Amino acid sequence: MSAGALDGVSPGAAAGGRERRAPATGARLRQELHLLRREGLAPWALVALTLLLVAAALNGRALLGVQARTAAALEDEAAQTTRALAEQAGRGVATAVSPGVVGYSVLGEPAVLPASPLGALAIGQGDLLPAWYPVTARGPHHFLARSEPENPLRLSIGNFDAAFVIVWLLPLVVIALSFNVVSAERERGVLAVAVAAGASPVGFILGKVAARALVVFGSLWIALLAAALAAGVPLGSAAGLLPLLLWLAGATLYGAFWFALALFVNARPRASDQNASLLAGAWLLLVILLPALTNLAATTVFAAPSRVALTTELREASEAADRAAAASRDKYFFDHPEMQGGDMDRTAYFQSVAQSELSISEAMAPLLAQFDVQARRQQGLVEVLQFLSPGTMTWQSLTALAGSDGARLREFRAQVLAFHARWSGFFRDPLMRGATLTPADYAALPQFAFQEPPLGRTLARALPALAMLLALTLLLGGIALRRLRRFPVA
Amino acid sequence: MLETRKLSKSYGEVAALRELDLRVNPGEIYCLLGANGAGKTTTINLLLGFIEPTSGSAQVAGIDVATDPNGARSRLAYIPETVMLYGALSGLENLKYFSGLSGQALSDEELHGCLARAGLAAAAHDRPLKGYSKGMRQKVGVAIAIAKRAGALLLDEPTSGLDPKASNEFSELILALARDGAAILMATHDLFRAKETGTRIGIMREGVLRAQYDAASISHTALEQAYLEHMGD
Repeated sequence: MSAGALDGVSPGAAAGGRERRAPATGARLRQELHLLRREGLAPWALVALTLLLVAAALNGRALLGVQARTAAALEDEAAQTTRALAEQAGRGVATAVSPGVVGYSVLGEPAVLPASPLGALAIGQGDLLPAWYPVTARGPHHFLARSEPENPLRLSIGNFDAAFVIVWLLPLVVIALSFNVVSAERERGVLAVAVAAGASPVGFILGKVAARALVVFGSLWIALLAAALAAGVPLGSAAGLLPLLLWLAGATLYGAFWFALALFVNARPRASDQNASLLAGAWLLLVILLPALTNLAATTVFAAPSRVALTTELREASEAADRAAAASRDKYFFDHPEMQGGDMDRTAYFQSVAQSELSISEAMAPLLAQFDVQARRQQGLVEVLQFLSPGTMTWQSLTALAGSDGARLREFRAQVLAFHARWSGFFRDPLMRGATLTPADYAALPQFAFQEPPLGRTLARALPALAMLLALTLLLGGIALRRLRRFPVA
Repeated sequence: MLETRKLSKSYGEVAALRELDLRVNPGEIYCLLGANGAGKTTTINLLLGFIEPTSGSAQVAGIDVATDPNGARSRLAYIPETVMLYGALSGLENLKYFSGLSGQALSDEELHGCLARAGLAAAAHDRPLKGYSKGMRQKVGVAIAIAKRAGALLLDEPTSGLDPKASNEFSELILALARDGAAILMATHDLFRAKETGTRIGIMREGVLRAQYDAASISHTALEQAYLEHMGD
C-alpha cells in the first residue's frame, strides 16, 4: 500500500468527492451487458431461444407445406376431371352431361383455406379444424364429417411452432435471467456496496432488468425475423408486415409481463431459491394450469353434442331417406310398369338421390348447427376466461394475428357451407328440371375463393388481450418499483 | 464529517441503538467495539441511509442522511465485512463498474492506479475476482473508495477472517486514508486492531455507547480489561 491514497485530493474534494453525475443510461447498460456476457448464462439462453424459434418456424412451414401440397393436388385433380368432363360433354357423353352423375357421383370441388401470411408461426387450430373440404353436391354432412368439431382452445400440448416457443418457453428464459435480479445482489452484498457507491436502489435494479430485457427482446426480435423469413412470411407486403409487427409487439409485451412479474417477486426481501420457486410456480399456474382449466371449463360448460348422437342421427336420417327413396322408386315403377325388372332411369335415380340428400341434410342440420353454437359459446367463454392467464391471452392474440385461431377457421367453414349451397344448386336445379350439362356449364362452375375477414375483426380479437397484458405489466412493474423504493438494502 | 445526535433505532420493542452521540472528524479513525447485536452495524446502516432512524439524526459532511440519503452517500464509501462484488469480472472491471455507478468515468490508467494504491498486485488486476482471497477483495473495496475520493469511510468488520498479514496491510491502508483526511468509522471485534489503528475507540453494548477512549492513551491490557468489564455488566 502506498501512502497518500488520496493524493491530490483537495479538502473540498475529500469532503465531497470529485464532481459526480448520474451515470448515463447508455453507460449503465453497457456495464450490465458486459456483466451478463461475463456471467455466461445469457448467451446460452439466447442462443437456445433463437434456435428454438427458427426450428419452430421451419416446423410450422413444413406442416403448412404438407397442407398446401395436399390442397394443390386435390385442386389439380378436380381441374383435370372438370376439363375431361367438359370435353366429354362436348361430345355428348351421357355421364358427362348428366348433372346427377357429375354432381352426385363424379365431380367435387376442394374448397381450400389459403395459408395466412403468419400461419407457419402459429399453427393454432390449423391442424384440428380442416384447411380444405371436398365439396360435392351431396349434403354437407359428407364433407363436414371429416372435421372434428373440437373445443376452440388447444392449450394443453400445442404444436411446436413459434407461438409455442413464445408462450411456453420465453417465460422460462426470462425467469432464468431475472429470478434473482435483486435477491442475488442482496445476498452477495453487492446491492449495499452499489447503493453506497452512489446508485439509487431502484435505478441500480432497473439497469439490470433493462439490460436483460434488451438482450432478451433484441434476440427475440432478431430470432422472430429469422423465423418469419424461415416460415416464408411475406415481409414485403402489408398483409405480412403489419401482423408480424403486431406479433413482435405481442411477444414483447408477454416477455415484459414476465420481467415485471420477476421484479414484483424480487421486490420482497426473499432468498433467491424462494424467488425461483415462486416464479416457477407462477409459470406452472399461468402457462399450464389456468389455460388447461379454461379449456376444461369451456368444454364442460358448453359441451359439444355427443359424437355418438351425431352418428345415430346420421344413421336414422339415412334410413328415413332410404325409405323415402324406396317409396319414390315404388311410385316410379307404378307409373312406369314397362320398366319393372329393369334399372331406373338415370335422371330419376339421381333425382331420388338428391331428394334423399336434402332430407338427410335437413335432418342433420339442427345437430350440426348445435356444434357450431357450442363452439361459438366455448369461444365466447374462452375470450372472457383468457384474461385469467397471460399465457392464454398471448396465445389467443398470436393465433388470431396468424389467422390460425378458431374464428378464421369457422369463418372458412361458414363460407364453405355457403359455397356448397351454390355448388349443389348448380347441379340439383338442372337435375330436377331434367336438363343436361354443356361445356359452357363446366366453364361456369362455381369457384371457391376464401374471403379474408376484415383486419378490424382480427384486431378486435387480438388487441384487448394485448391491452390487458400491457395493463398487467404496468401494474406489476409499478407495484414492484414502489416496493423497491423501500427495499432493505442491507 | 460523520456525526450522530441522539440517534436511535428500534424494531418494535427491541432497541437496536439508543441515543448515540458520535462525531468522527476528518483524519480520524473511530473504532466501534462490541459483541454481535451491540448496535455497530445498525449505526453504519443508519449513516448509510439503509435504514431510517426511530429518532435522532445522522449527518455526513453536514448532510442529513434521512433528508438526503443520496447526497450523504455521495460523500462516503462503504466496505462491508465481506466484499463479494462480481466474481465473473476482474478486479479492474469491478472497480470500473462500481465507480461508474457513482457517475465517474475513470480511464483504465486511473483505475489501475486506484487498485495499486489499494495494494493489489498488478498481476491480479485483470484476473476474475472469483479467484481472489478475501484480503484481495477487501483491497478492491478500498480501491472503490479511493476511486470515489470519498471524504468518509464506513467499515463493517473489514478485517474479520483476514490472516494477520492481510489485516496488517489493511490497517496500513486505512491509516493512509485517514492521513489524507478521510473520516473513518470502523466496526470491529478486533481489540488489537482497534488499538493499533484507531484514533478513538468506543465500546457498545445493547445499542448503547458505554465508553469512549483515546487510543493513544490506553494500553492494550487496559482496553481489554475495560471491554470485558462492559461486556460483563
